[in-house]
Amino acid sequence: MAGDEILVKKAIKGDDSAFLQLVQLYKIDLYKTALSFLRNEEEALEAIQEVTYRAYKNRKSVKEPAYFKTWLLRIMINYCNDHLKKQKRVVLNDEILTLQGTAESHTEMELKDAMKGLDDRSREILTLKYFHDLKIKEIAETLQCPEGTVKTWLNKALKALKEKLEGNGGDMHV
Amino acid sequence: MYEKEEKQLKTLYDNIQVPLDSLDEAIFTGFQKAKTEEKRQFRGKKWVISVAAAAIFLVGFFTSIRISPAFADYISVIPGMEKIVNLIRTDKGRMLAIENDYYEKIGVSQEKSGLKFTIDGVIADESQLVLFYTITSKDKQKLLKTEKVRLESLEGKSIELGGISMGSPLNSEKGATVHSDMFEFYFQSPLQAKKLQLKVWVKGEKVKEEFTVNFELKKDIQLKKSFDINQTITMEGQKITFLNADIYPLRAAIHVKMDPNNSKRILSFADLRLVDENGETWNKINNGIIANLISPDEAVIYLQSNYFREPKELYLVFNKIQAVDKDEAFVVVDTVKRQILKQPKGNLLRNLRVEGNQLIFELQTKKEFNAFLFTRINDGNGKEISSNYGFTEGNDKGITKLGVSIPNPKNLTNPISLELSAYPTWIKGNEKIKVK
Repeated sequence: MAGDEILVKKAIKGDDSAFLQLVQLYKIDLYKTALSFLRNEEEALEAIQEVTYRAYKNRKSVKEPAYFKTWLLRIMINYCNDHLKKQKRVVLNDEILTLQGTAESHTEMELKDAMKGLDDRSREILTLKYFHDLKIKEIAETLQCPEGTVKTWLNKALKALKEKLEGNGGDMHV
Repeated sequence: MYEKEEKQLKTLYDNIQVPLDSLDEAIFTGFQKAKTEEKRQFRGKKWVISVAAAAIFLVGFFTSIRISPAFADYISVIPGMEKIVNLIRTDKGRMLAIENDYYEKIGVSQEKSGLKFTIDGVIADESQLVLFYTITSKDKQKLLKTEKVRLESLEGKSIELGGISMGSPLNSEKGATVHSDMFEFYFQSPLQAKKLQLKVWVKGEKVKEEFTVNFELKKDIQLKKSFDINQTITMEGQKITFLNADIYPLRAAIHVKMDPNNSKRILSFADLRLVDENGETWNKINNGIIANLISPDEAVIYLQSNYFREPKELYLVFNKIQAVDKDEAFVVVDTVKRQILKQPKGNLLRNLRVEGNQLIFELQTKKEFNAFLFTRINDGNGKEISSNYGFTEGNDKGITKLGVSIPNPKNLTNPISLELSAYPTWIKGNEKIKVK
């Protein structure tokens, strides 16, 4: 972690290769986040491009080098939420995309659909906690709210997800 | 309680295929975009719209020139003059024009939707008009661009424009309410009209307005001073004839002809300068149109003007000229394969990219090289492609980014051939030619 922090400090000071190294380091995390929100490769790649752009433009605003990763994820999540709001109308078409997708197990598909049906906040929390293995403290940093709130939200999110999955499962297995 | 869901969630994206190449490309594109904007903001980017096909222009970055104390006094008594001096301080000819009271204050404006466009003043001669303007905005603006600039005569005598050079757009992170810059209009035949009309679109992030401002030139336009030269020199075997010099208040125009039997294509007279009997020197124009190519073997080169001086003697002096072998005078590219198929020896041009309607190259040089490289562009059928603009952006590591607009690059007949008007290879010598 210390090595990363040195990179972050260099990047903030204007070292472009340090900045690019950092993005390289977290690109898979960023990509997975994008994919979990946007659900298709093309849009996820577009998101990566835009997030790299925004991160570079704002790199000087990173206050705590230790939280660079969460800072990046925050940018990504904001981007995805904005993007989804704009794309609300085409969401239905996504079903077709999913059908055309590669062989996913049934439960994975259900899970992804259930995730998609959640509110923004819940989706964010679950993404950060389970896809990125962030600690509650780090999530609190990313979302800029108290740790207690994160715990409450996480609980709510899991509950909502379970309800969706069970509802779904019921419908599909009759 | 939620163990099952938690476990499923954790493994959900473990097995996805990550398109690493596309991922890297996306990162690079995003990075480049941010980088480009940052450069634009800090170093300024000069856009030139060229109506005449063969104008060559140069992007100069402001270097500071010391102002004489007398001149500093002079500008301090005229309110609003500092901003104008800031725009032209790298051009000795224009500074002399102001010092000699040849600048004409205008001060007319139009106001629309919280934006006000003011023509502060102009300097005009037979061949050129430099118009200084200020845009003020009620709200803070992060970005203000000027577009579709037109200059028309209100007196029936129409203006034959050869080109327009525009300044950099306002680009401010914090937002600004005032922006001053200049437009330069180049005429193909001498300006005769006195009553003129400027039309310009001003675009911000939320506003977009067209302004129409009428103004009148009251000062007499000073006529050019002409000198015949008719002298031929030979540099590294290449013969060049200097025909004549026309000195206007805003620039000096030197007419040259190359011997058709030369083995090299002469591109640009990199250090051509006017020197008087005291050794005082006027260099090339460092921002704007620097030459007009009449044919591959004939050109008019523009230097800063010494119009307001009366030298006893005047010389043209130079030590090096940009030149390439005649069979290397074109860069040929394939926009689909994004490949540079042909370029002069040394492969200084690299990384061809197509971004929207722009072809973008990187030019690798040891020293900063700011000239725009190309003039005419032809498609695979030999048909000329009209390019609306070009730009160059300097870089600290000896890489200059060059862009040229091409309409619809995806549907062109390849290969595209771009004729060079500048290139960082030189022939050298020691020449001094008497003008007066």
